[in-house]
Amino acid sequence: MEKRVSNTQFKALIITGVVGVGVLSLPSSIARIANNDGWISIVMGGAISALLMYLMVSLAQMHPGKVVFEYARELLGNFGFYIFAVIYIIYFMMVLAVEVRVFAEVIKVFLLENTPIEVIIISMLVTSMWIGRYKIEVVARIALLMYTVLFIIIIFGVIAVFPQLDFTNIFPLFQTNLKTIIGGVRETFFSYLGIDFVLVSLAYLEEPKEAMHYSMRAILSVTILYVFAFVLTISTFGVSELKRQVWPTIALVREVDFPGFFLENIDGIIMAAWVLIIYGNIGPTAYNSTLVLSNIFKTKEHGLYVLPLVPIVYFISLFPQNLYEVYKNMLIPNILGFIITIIFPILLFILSKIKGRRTK
Amino acid sequence: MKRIIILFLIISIALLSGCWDMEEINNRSYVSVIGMDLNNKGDNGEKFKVTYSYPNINALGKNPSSEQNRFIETTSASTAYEATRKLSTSTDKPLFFKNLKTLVIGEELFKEKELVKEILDGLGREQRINRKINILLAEGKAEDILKITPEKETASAVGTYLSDILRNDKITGRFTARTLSQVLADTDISDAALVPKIKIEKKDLEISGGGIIKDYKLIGKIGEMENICIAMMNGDFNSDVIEATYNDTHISYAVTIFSSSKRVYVEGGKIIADIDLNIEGYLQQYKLDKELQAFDEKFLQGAEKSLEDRIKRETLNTIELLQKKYNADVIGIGEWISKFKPSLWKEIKDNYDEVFPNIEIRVNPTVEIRRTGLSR
Repeated sequence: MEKRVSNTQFKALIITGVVGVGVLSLPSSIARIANNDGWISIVMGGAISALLMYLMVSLAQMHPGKVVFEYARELLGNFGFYIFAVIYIIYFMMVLAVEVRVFAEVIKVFLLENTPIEVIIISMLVTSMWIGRYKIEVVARIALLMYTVLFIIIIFGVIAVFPQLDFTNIFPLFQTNLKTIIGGVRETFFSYLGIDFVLVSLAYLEEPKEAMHYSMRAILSVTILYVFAFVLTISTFGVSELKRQVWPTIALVREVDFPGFFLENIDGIIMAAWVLIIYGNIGPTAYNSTLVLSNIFKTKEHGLYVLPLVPIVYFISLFPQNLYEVYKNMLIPNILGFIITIIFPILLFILSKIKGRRTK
Repeated sequence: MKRIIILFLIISIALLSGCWDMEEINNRSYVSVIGMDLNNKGDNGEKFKVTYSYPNINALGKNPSSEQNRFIETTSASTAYEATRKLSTSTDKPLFFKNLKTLVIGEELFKEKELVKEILDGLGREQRINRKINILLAEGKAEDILKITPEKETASAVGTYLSDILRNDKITGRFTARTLSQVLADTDISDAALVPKIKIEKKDLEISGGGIIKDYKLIGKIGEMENICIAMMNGDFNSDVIEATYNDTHISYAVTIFSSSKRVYVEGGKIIADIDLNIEGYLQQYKLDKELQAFDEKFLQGAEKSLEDRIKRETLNTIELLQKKYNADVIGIGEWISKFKPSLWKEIKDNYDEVFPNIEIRVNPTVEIRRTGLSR
């Protein structure tokens, strides 16, 4: 297998794969559980993700040049592999559906009020899932591009909101007990989903030995981004108003108002850039899901599965009747994500250790 | 096949291109001020009387084609949003709220707790309205305020007149501009907020002082001096002129740098709040005399002392008013306790209304006269 992904692209792939629509609602959903100490939950969630990442990278390094679905079949046998592959595919469908639905809801509220949500969803799905047709290097290049966009938005956003921050709103610190904070960690889980992509992308890495270093840096960046989002929103709104918000991160941008009519109502610009970030988030997930399918059916080409997936994701995404149900139904991808990102890698890791010892 | 695709593309040009869905800027009504009043007649459950003011775009620019520079529409409705829809039957252009700057709420309406809650919730939910809009309390009816055409208003700033005055709170402490998000944040923590007050003064508009909002309703109004004191204790104060008497002569003192800090502690079972006010500025006016006056240590110290006394007296009066008369914590003591003394806050937060009037608040102003102007 060719080595086609550079380390920087690898890092960008992880970041864009993890940062999706979760960051929009994360600060308020955490504040609802852990109040002012939500950032501790975010940091703990990041630490757990780093541990999982360590496990996954070591697992992938044990099987150089192989994608997870290939060695999973060897380790688990055909039957076991099919069970996991089915869970995988359902999980990807659910994640894609949630992503695109929340994305469409946000776009409908802020940008395209009169456009039917179906149109927003289908046009986003068709354009972004198209990335899934291409090879990994294309996905990686797009990831790097979107990563740059994300970076620019963050810097621009932080500068724009800075004058109005009241950092005393972060206080009081350490008032929540450990149990609640751990409850908050569970809430951050959806926002950290997507790290499992290393199991695929690492196989194509130019220098797989460096992978650990870059993946840790990626997780660190994501954690810092989330902590930033939390601190900035809580400093702007205060904890009670933060809890009331559906999408505090966008509400934050709507607070921007520089004197003299110079800069206000910039939510449109940020929303437009936001489209690109979600684009970069859906792309790798779509690539992943087609890869699973091509491994199930043992086809060489994976691109042909994209088109059939679009209507399926479309229907799943339209299943919730309202925004409340969208967020309520997030439990399903969360449970599946738990299996995919925690149970599955641990199982594979143990099996490959046993197998490795046997072959010695 | 190829021909069919080409044909399809050509036809789609006819459907997709062009501006069939366009909205020209001069065909929109950019509402700049909304006024809300209580509808006294109250027929059909229409509790609100909503007034919109928007500039007449045809009257702006170099060669105005119209004389009247703004339009005012009034309607009664059961919610503010119903009013918008109702007005669309009588206005030719759609109302557009992205540039809304100010919301003026009438005094009577502000006294109705449930209605104020409805308004605040509606504003927080509405994505078309900026959260940075200013909230103003109208002395009298908001409708009357909107109908006044200020003489100083130039055509270029139609409708932004109110928000432009509100920006002056950088150079005065006589009122403190409050945006929607600030009012929401204030009411969340201590259940009390202060909004600036507007009134008609000799056919012109004047913003001064404020109204105290407690438990989502207006409970009282305060004047300019009280507002300066509250702004000082909150740290919202930027600059103003303070006057005091020294040796039977008026001293005018301009504040240039201001900072304040709070500290709350329990001593002998009593909650004590220390508020330090650090004021720096220069002497603006004293009294012309042949002998040197201002360059004198005794004079400076004496003048500083008398200014400190004045500030202390006024702030203590204001605190007395807030604690005993209104029982409204608009000076952020509850907020400070909840942030920095969370264990104390847990004990008192449930009956803070009984605790607040009994907090001993000490004010320690420090006035420094850094410069004395151009004369010695």
